[in-house]
Amino acid sequence: MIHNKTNHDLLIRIINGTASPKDINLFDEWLNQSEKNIQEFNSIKFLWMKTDAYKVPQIPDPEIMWNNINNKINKSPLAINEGFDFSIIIKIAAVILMAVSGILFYNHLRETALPGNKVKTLSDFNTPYINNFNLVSHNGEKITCVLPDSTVVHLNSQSRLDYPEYFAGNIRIVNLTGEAYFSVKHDKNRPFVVRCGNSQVTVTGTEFNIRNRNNNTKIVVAKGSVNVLSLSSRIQKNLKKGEMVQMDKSGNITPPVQVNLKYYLAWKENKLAFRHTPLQEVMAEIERTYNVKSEFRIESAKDRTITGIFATDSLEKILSVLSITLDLNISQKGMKIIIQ
Amino acid sequence: MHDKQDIAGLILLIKKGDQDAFKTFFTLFYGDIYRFLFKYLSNNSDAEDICQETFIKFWQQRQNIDNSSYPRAYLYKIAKNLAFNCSTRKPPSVSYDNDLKIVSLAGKDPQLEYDNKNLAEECRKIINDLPERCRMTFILSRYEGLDYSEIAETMDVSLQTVKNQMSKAINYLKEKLLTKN
Repeated sequence: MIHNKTNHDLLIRIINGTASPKDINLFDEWLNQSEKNIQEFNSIKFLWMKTDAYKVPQIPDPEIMWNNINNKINKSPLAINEGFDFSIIIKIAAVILMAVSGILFYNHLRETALPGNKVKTLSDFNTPYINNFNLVSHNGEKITCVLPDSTVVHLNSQSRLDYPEYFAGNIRIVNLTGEAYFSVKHDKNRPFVVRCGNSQVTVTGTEFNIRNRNNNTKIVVAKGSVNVLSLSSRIQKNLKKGEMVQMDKSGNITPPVQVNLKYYLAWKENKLAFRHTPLQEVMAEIERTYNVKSEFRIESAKDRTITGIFATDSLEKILSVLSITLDLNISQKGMKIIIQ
Repeated sequence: MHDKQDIAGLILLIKKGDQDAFKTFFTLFYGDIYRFLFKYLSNNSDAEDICQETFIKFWQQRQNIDNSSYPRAYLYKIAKNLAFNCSTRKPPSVSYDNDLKIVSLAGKDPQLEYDNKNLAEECRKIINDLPERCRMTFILSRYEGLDYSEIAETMDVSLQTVKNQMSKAINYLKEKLLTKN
């Protein structure tokens, strides 16, 4: 029986994305040996997908559990809570689980039959047995997702991330449209590459934000350093922590400048931050964040600029601040905002 | 998932009696351990109790942790032994619905939700049909992401036994889950 000879351990590592380069070579070799092997791999991969639904029990409150444990291991229970915020961890975990299970399940539904058996090398990203996932956030929506290599991605509204089911080979490549914050899992042997518009950002493990709106790409580094390459002009720049570059449609990159990170990362904390930003852009951001539409009845208002950081819990409050600051009449009617 | 070195560092501190380090360790792993126990026991309250007990035991036995081996496997091993000893194991009850809330949030389509629930239920039933050790081996691999060496250590068996158990589980599940449609 072929099953008994199959090295399931290796196949599972391939599926989980924990395979070493040596594993991948072995795997490619094994896969090319026979049609049967390809079928075997596909069926195991399919089994993994099928069993994915049974994956996510709700986790009990860690704080209660920790207190119980703490009481047992200490004769005198610790009265003071050291301010460890479990609730945040739980919330993040829940979002991640939702995102991941949603994607995996969606993918499962799309796949009605076993994937095709034609292509035989893992290094090709378009092989039928490496599925490509995409994550799309609509207006008013933000998504946090964990990629197969444990890299964490926060996707801002109206953005899209394309990534493979697992990262094969020596490079991790994803494609982004819109805006996202990446916290890349360190792996010096497998660079992580984000392609966005005509820019390509390469890192081994660091945190950074990419924003691509209206053919303009801004890259800001929050931790470590990154390499930015323009795919059209082949210009390259190295960025350090706290630095930002902009790239235009034709691939020109500005020299790196030191910036105030909080303006660029505010969206992650559910804030809107503007610095000398024209009202037109401000409204575009508000449209994405709240899923509303705006209408300018005074053309000249579009170029008035705003500086400030707003909490996004109340659109009404933001609009009233904007009205007062710019001395405009900004009113909301349902999903529509009128500036006059 | 977690850097091996970070975990090793935490373990060293825990062995010295550092409770903050233990709390960090707990935060990192309690979810994994709970999920693992839930899958094996199909019961909320048992999983919760044993999860708690696992960490208490881990702390009490912290001096026995071997620096050279896998600390994660050591933790799973405690959980496994406690779970095996849990005599109250009974067929899964209604509590299962809770389990699916998060999944169903992901898809707002009612048909999709329904399919998802059925699929999860189907998976659970079929996995529960596996013999005890075989089932635990599969859960550790499929859901906990432990590699075969870690599973061998957790289960107190040889690597070959893990391989055999996994092949058995995979072949059984393939037959049950994949032949139907």
